Amino acid sequence: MYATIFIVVAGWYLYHRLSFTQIAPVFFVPKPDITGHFIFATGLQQALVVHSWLRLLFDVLFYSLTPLLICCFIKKRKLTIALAWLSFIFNIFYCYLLSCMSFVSKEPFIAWMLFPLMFTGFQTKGFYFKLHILRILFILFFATAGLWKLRGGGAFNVEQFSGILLHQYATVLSSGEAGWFVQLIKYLINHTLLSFVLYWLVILAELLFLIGLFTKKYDKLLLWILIGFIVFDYFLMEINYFSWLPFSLLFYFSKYSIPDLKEE
Amino acid sequence: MFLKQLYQYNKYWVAVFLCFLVFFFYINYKWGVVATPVYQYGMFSGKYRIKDTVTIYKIILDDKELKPAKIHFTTKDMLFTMLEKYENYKASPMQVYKTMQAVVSKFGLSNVVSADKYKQNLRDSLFTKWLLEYFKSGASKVQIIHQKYLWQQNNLKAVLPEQNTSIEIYR
Repeated sequence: MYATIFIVVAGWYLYHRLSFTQIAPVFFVPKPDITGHFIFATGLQQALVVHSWLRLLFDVLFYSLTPLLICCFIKKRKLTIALAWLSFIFNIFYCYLLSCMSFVSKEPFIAWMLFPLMFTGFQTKGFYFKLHILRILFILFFATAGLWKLRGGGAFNVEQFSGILLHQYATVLSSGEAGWFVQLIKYLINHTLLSFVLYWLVILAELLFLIGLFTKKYDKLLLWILIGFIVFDYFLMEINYFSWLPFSLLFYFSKYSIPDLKEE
Repeated sequence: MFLKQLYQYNKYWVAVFLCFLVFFFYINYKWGVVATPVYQYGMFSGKYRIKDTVTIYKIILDDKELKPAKIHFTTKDMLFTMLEKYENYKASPMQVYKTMQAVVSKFGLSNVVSADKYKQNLRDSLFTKWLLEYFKSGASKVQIIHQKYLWQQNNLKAVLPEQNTSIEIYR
């Protein structure tokens, strides 16, 4: 299932020309990121701008490593563990550098970075623990997004979502284009209270994930909230968070337990 | 409890897991620099207002303005976001390097990454040529301008005349 999601989402990126080869970047924009700073020590960012063969190599590796890793894991090949660690490190390099050379943020790529760690062993018990570690981490990632909205003040600003939409669609709105989607955006900008309710629904959805730290009973609900969030973000905000879809698997498979482990 | 079970299974995993958590909370508390794959998920948390003026970039291809609503959002974001990023970066290319050096020097690691690694050949002609190639446009002239807008009476209205950016006209 993870490999299928990867292929579909990666296919979307390829279709929309979001690989190094297709972008053929002529510059990079560094980010305030400690890991990224050390990645820059390798000089890969400069080499990727200059050498088309390196861009192609990066793309081929990125798009083939995950399917290869899953194949090896299913067939229990010895190579799997080395491949998993390689994928983990390489995906960090790939995703960080791609975000420096495109408009795509690095946060949506977090699943591609962390999921290879799930396959660093064959023991069912180990897999179970890694699944739950990732589940807890994702809960914290998602819930802190809600907490940040409280800390940043967005949650207390009635104009917030109208303002976000205005900034998100400024180029389209200023061009005077019409159409049902532009009308919908204009409607939401003008109806600040309705937009604010939508914004708060997102905050509540994010904060609701905290319940997952105490019980797995509501994981099915959290799974659907996550899918709803991804779809909402794609269609209303035009932001692709489908690369977070692998995290939904954690909330589906969390219902399984290991017989010789006592449940929480 | 999960942590106890994990400890019984593998002590090192507990240590790594707890370290990640501590670092995650520290990075979030400090609010600023991150360390991939430890991020802050504070997207759209800062205050946005509809009364604020918005600076909008425009791409003029062969004297015709590119209509952003007619292109897919990925292409639109690639063109317009990269445009803004390019101009901002050009204005202060070593800013991030200085910030990062200030952070890593606290750990005695300031010699690991030299300033050369952040240097690049920034040329407007290269950038605008890339823009044309990415958009698959055969235009022979590219002009990048920007203008301030304000949300008034159900529309974004220009409040100042169009202005040239620092990006030179490409012919």
